[in-house]
Amino acid sequence: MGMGRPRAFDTDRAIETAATLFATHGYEGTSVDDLVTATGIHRGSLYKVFGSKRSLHLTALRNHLDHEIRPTTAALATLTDPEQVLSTAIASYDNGPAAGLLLLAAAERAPHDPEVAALVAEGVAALEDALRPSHGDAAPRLASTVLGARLRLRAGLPTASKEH
Amino acid sequence: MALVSIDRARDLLTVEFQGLDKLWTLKSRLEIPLAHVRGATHDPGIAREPKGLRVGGTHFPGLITAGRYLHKGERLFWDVKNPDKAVVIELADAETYDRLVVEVDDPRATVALVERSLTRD
Repeated sequence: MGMGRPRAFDTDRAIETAATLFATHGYEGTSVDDLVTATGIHRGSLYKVFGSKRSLHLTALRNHLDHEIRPTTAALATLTDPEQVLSTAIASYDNGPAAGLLLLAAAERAPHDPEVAALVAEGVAALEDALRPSHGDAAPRLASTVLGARLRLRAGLPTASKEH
Repeated sequence: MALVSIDRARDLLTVEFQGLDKLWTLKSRLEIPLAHVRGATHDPGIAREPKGLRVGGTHFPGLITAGRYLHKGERLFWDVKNPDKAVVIELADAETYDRLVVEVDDPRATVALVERSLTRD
């Protein structure tokens, strides 16, 4: 990164803070002012390190996949009781400090941004793979059920996972 | 106002300054190799940041910021009258400027145009 001036901030923490903002307010709803205020990082440094708001969002989404989605789906894949797998998936998928980041990216950004679409596809594929050991060919359909239930939870609506 | 476009034949990002902005910025156009363009962001808030030292160009606070500025060791090129339409184009170390801050007619379209033209590693 040239110059050799040490960064006065923790890049990983900045990414986590940005992820929480994007997950709370959406991509368009999060301004550079919001990112500067929440991370406490100077605007110039934010641009120097991440290049653009879009690049920071992609980095945050990549980070969310690696540190939240992947560990959750890996744990799901070890469960055997089909009902427990489904209810655990609904309770824990796309959760954590930036809960809903994947869901929001899917709805807001994926239709316009192929790189976001690819990351969303990766996250959904990980969920399907985690459901396959317990649900076999029904895994893709149940992945849709999990995504729908997460959307209902976000909207404050009750989920009906026990009813079928 | 600046017109940002992509010259695919020469792999360049071009910024053309329109009308009197040529005078304010002391430039009629900038050409940046796409490989040196790191990203574009719509950022109305940047206009409230300290501009630093004017190296060449024009600064009527509250009216226009145009030309070359030096701020905390970074070299910025400004052409902004209306902050609502300010787009930040971040450049790689090899460039003459670290950052361009330009007013464009349609920030959303300009950001999409620039971001689509980049290949990320």
